[in-house]
Amino acid sequence: MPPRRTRAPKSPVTIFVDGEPTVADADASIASAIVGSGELMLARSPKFHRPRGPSCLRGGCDGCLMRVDGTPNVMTCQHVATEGARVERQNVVLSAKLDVLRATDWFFPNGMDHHKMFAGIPGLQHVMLAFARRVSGLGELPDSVTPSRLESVPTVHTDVLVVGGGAAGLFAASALRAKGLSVVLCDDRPALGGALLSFPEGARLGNHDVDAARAAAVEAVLRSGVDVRLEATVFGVLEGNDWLYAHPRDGVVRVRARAHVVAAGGHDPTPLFEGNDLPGVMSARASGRLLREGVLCGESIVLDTQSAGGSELGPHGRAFADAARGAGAVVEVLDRSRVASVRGLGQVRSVVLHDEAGRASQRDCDAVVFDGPVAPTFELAVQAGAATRHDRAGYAVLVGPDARAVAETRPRDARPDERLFALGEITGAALDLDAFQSSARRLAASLAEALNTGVAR
Amino acid sequence: MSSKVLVCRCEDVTLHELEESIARGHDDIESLKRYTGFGTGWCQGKWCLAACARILSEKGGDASDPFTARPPFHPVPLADLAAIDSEGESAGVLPARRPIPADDD
Repeated sequence: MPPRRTRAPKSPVTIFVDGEPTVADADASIASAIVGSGELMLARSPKFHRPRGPSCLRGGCDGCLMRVDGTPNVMTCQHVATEGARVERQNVVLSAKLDVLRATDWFFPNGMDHHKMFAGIPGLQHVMLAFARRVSGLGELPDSVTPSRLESVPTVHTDVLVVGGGAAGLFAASALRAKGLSVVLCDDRPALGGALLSFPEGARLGNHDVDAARAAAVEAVLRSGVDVRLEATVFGVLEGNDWLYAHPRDGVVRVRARAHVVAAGGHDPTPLFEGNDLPGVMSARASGRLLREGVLCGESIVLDTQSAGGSELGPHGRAFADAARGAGAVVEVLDRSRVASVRGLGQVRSVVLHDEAGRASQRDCDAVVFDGPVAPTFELAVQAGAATRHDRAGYAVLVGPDARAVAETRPRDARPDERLFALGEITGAALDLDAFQSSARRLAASLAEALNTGVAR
Repeated sequence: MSSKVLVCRCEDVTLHELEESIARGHDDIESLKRYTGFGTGWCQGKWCLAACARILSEKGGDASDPFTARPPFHPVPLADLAAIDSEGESAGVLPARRPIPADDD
């Protein structure tokens, strides 16, 4: 069965998907509205034109890139639906459902090695190059030229910039305000909560009710006077240690802070099996977020941890399994077997499992949900000079007991930020509200002391 | 249905290609990225880097450090980026901080 809505939209609006009127929720993303209408395939991959659907719903994959109101490559998972929005699939020749370039995928069963393919063959080389340029890529140019919105980039001054509005960032921001410091908190989503927003309603995490804990943390941040910037994606660090964020309507803003706290969380793990990019394969956090927005990803769901590097279900997987069953779905949690491949043309239809002895079995399903350890979102902290440690899950930012980032010392030109801190899943820690809360207090004490007594930058 | 295992969705890089490239001697994370193109697409490695690094490390390659983090870490319209250097300060996003390994190709 295709995905379906579990409830009517709270604030219904109509969007147009390839011209078709589709009911959406003004409180939810464009991507969840389309999935809720029963369509998992939102995009096509750039080379092989493989069908793609949302995998992360968190701005970290290519699965929901669509053209919205004439602008190509909009991450529809991060954009709320607005009345009358024109949403179109891109990268297609003929039609979205029957893209003739899909055949490219079958011509190259092992992938396309562009270093070897037709290289050095006079004539053919140029034909192939022209062909590749014609068929590959993402979307087409915008309908109109976007004028530069700003004469210059505005600068915001603050004591501390906190990047990430999940549990760790929220706790850090209010603890820092309690020390009398001014705080700017940036988060890339339209609402605060980070990974807590990827739990279905009513979920529990440790001893906490997730929704109640999130509401309390957000309330504490707002009441303490933190300067909260939503839909503000921090994307880089300039010379002089100015940090930049991008906002869909305000453009780019520079933040000049005396100290930085990176609480950017983690990226989804990558599931490795045949057909791992087929629409209907998504992370436990993505399926949980969909359910929170009133959309169930399928009626028959296989939940796997081994193929995503996990050994047992994490909190998001457990919460999703419970909530999906509560919504009427059949959820099979794999225990002694793992997904070896998924089958289906435009979306998941069946799955082949391998047990510990290597025996294969097959069953029909509509969705494969994977859950495993997240890969720390290290990028910004590393650019600012933090050191990392590599393990199976990814690159965790190294911190001391007070959450201060350990400086990378190897490159000679590194100018590590003395007041760089990292907190939460970015450090390789598992999502744990009590642990993050106490780390945030230690961080605030240490950071406040550094700002009061530390040398000028 | 094809039997591809994708290690990088944005650039359509398969597990087969990744393993072939490691076997061909691209056994550090920067060379492997440059040869296969993984991590160079829309998401800039958010989906693929951890998995590619794990596979490389399991095959005996060097994945001790991530590939150089280069902003923007999130797509930003050129029209907005264009406004950055108009304050008259030294602008442009920071250069790479890690030395780039010599290309042995």
